Amino acid sequence: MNDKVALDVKNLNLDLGGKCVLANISLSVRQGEFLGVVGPNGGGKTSFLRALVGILKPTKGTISWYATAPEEQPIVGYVPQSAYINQSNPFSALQIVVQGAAQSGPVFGKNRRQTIERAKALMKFLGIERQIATCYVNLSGGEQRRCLLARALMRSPSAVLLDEPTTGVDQYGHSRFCNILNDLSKEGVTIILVSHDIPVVSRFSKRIAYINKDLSWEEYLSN
Amino acid sequence: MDWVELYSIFDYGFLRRAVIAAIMMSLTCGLIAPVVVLRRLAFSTDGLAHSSLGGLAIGILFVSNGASPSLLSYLISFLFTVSVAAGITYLSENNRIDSDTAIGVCYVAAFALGVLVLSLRKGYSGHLDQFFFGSLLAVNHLECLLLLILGLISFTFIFRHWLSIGKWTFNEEMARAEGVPVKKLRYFFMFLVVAVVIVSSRVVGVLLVTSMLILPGAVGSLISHSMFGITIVSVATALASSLIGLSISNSYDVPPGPVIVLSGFLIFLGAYLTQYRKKLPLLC
Repeated sequence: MNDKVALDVKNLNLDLGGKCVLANISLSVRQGEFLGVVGPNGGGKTSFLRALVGILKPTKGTISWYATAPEEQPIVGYVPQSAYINQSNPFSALQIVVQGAAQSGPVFGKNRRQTIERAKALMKFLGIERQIATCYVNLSGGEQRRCLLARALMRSPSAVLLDEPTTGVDQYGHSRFCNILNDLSKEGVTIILVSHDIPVVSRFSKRIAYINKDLSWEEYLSN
Repeated sequence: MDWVELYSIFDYGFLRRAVIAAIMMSLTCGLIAPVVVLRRLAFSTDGLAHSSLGGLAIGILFVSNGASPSLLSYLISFLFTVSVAAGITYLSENNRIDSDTAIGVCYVAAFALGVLVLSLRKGYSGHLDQFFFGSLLAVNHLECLLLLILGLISFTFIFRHWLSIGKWTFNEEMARAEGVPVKKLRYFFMFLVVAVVIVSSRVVGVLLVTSMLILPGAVGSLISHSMFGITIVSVATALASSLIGLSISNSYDVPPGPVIVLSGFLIFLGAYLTQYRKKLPLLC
């Protein structure tokens, strides 16, 4: 973790359907920091994350992302809480990861080979290399989360945001997943993790923020 | 049927146009069908197909003198069907009714309007069944050209936004977070589907055109794990069903539209029954 700022949120307000979901949240996250976001159900944690990645537009306030190097564009990866997937979707795990590549058009020749090799390498890093040809919908919950994390990492993001990535995953899977996130954080990737599981978040993150419509409290941990 | 008889069909202009129209329709529908299937737009597409009859009927009523629609009547049909799509979006937006209901309500009204308008037209010399079941053998140069243009537009759109479309078909929210312009994709794709449905209904008819936007994609998704593989299989299925259907229709003097659709269905059935075999190698 260094002193450079990766994310600067100033006075974030968000209204959805006429209801105030987030109010006056100001927060700064440094590059390589592992921030845990906790809070009660309906407190706005998911909406906060969705506003950070640009899915929801703030009613008021600013969200500024900064890349590792000044001349680069910040790239933010996102692993949603429960990606709604059509259960008859035929895509393989490898196809899902490859889709995370930066291009919008097709990839040919050497670029295609490199893209597929990178996808396979990420799947190996996350321990799901045996599921390359398996349909995504046939993966276990934990494997699906790791597949989505591999997809998010395809573009070499400077930050990764994860919403309840360990829901429905056993304790061993929890720890294994968070260890991976910890390793990423040590390599300089900013991690923002939303979770109900305060003990796990406390164990791995450097800072915890409690969100219940506003930023109720923050605490730095000695991890 | 011997080879001389087979090649002799190209001596006839109407048969040449029929083959060209069938091939162009297959290529276009084959490219679009994977997105329709993966985005679960089958019912929406069916609704738009039925709605297009209302527009075609209004266009023919005010513009055409003969039974064949003119370019202006196709344009009127396009605008009418896009309006129906906008109406469906409006009705389902505030959650008072869900989108399935909105589609069902709107398309039956548009379809009924089309049937009524066609039956009211004075001196109308066409038959309703040419719109319902298509009239591939009556395809004219304009329709061939429209199918060619739509084919080029579809290919360009799919090619240029290949990975973005793949991301969009997997999960719309993640795609948006990854910078895909989801709203623009959705609207452009809707316009493209409306245009393809309207012109392709000349080939297989309003009642069956949806099958050309579903069956090939369904076959692709049964056989391949990847967007590339699904698209290749989809295009191949659409082409095969069109050419098989056309040759059977020519040999046995039966309407080509239903035969094309039944050929596609048999290919789908074959793919479904053998789906437990190892799927094609990853082609992403």
